[in-house]
Amino acid sequence: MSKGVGLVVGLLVGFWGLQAAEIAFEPAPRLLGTFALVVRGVTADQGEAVLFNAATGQRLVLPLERHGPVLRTPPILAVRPCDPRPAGQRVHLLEVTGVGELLVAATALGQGLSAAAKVGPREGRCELLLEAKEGEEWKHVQALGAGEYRVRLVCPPADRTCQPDPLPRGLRVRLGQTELTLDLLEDGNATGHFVWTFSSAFALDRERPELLFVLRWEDRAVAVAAEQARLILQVGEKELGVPVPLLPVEVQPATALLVPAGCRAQLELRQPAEPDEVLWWVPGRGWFAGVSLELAADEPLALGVPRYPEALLAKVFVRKGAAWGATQIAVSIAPRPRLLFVDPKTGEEIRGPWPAAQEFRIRMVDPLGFPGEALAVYVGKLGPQPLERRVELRPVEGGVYESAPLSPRLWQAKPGEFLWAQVRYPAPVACVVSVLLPLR
Amino acid sequence: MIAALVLVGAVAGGALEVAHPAFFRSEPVVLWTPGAEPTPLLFFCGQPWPVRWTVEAEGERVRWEALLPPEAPLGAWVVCVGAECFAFLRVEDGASLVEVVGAPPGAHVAIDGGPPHTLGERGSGFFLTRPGRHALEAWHACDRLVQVWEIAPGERKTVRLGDFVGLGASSPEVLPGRRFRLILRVRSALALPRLEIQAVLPPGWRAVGEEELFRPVPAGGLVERRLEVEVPPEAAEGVYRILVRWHGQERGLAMRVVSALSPLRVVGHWDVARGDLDLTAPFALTFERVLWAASLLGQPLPYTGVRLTPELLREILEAWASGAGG
Repeated sequence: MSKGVGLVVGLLVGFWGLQAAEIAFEPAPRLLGTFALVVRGVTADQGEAVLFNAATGQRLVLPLERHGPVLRTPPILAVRPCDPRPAGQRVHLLEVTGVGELLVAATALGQGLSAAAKVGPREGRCELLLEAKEGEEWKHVQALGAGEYRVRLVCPPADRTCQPDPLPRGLRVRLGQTELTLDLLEDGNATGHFVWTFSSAFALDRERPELLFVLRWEDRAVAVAAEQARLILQVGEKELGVPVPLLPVEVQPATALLVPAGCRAQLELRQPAEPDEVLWWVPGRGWFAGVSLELAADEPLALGVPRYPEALLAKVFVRKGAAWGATQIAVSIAPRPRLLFVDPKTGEEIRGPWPAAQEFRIRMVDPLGFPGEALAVYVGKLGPQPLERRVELRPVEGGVYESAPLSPRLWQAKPGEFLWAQVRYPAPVACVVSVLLPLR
Repeated sequence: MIAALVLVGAVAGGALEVAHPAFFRSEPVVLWTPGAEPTPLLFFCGQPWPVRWTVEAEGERVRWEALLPPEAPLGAWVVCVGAECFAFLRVEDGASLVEVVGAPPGAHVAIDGGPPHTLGERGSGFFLTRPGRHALEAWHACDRLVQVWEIAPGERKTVRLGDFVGLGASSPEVLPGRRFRLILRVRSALALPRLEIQAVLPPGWRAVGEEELFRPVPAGGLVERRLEVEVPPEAAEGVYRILVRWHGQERGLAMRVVSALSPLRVVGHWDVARGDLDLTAPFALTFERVLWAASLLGQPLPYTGVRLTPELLREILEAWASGAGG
């Protein structure tokens, strides 16, 4: 034990009980921070104080001068060997090697006073910044996309020694449900800067299928569903949330589509304009490329019995440049509507040739997907002079639509000729329901 | 008595002819019009459907062809040329089409024992069937036939129940006030009680002998029937068109009305027994007719406006010797 340590210990033991007077560090000593030793409760107007660094063995003898009710030493600056020395300042330099070193202050005044403190961290606030690489430059950004990024932590308190220091408790990263802690090392001997560099990209998982947002750094990777992707960075109490915006995707029809069995429907990408890649996924049918998708609704048969409604969720994934977006459309397959010629007297479906002089009605059953009160059917005669005309069907009971009684004479139809009735679905469904009536 | 001949002012549906009552999805729509104007227009459910037509002259008519895109809907389509329209069906390629043509109007046709379809005055109809083996049954009056055949997906099968083989005349030239005979040659798969035709004659012309039309038409064979027509005395010289429709099939004939016939025509149609011209009889240079002609050497030859010179007689004799004209 050195001489200085012996003196301090002696002072501590001898004068422990006389605390009316005291010596104190004001403010608490910090790395690269200025502080003084202050003595209170003594009558002397001057004296000396000793400051001792237990780690380095450095001993400073400092004068005490009265400043009002207290005696105070000149300013003391705790510096490491790697820190620049202040020029032109009247400060006493206390050599430290890092944060946490034990300092002991003592004075003979007041029948011997002493105090101990540890060197605190550098003053300053920690700041988290996200930067994107643009060319050779890093630019501050507030959202993530696909590219090269770095998180820069400017945190002077984390600079503890003249060696690159590890970030205490690391950088906590949360992406979707994934949470991890990254061990970062200061990027210089005394910078207080910590950097995490990573790349990010969108990836299409064709198995799930799902658009993923993937972060890669060193040999590690984390992937989450892109629509849930939000990067949250945390250092101590400091938190930075970074959104991952997706390309807005708009499809016509917007969210839901009803397709009658046996019909086709067109899904069309409306936004973004001029995409670089458009991929559609239809469960059970696979992948399709192109700005539009034609869906053919097959008759779903299970044990020979139609099973309605069958629903599926079609998805579209769109890329423009490095940006991706996705959306989904609920597709329901409903029974195909049926057009019938019916006997106006019995209401029965006409199944064979019908007398050319006798009236009939046109009925539509299961008219799903047709908006409005009235439903227009086109009726004509096959062959020359079809005399096609628009006939309105109006709702009757049971969700069925029917025309008024119609005479084949309206079409100048004779025995042996055929009348037709047909209705066309409004876009985006491309479907025509037709029925023929042979006349006798 | 049921009429076998119906004289009409015009035969309906002549200007626009569509190749089939139904077209497959991948098949072009084909039609014919009398001229290149106006362009046919296609409509579906009342809405115009622009197409690119391929146009080419085909005889006196213009042939139009347009291939609809695959996404064009199936169902009933209408094509119009001016005010004349025609409705046809567009059907899936996987279906099969059976077209029945040349049937007697009112004939019944059924496939695989299904409900019978009565054929109209065009004598045609069609069935949209599944590919496979089918039995077509047709009946009319007292006759009935059954045909069994296979049809493939996308195949169009034409079942011809009657064939209007030809329309001719006993003489291509006729004098005003004289008669001639139309000669109709038909073949019918069904036996018919008579030959029922529609005819369009020039104004003032009249059918005076239609007895042969009432004779039964046996099934299968080529049948010839004659119809006597009288030209009005006031008929001017020129070419006159006659149209005859039988079971939806139309045949035309150009008749020339002349003020004088050629010497050979007169000799070939001379009724030696009656001593007069008979344009209703078939043209034939017989020994008796040539002998009659020879007796007129140096004298006017009736209905020709010329005298029979030795040169003309030599021509007649050479034609007789060569067998020309029967």
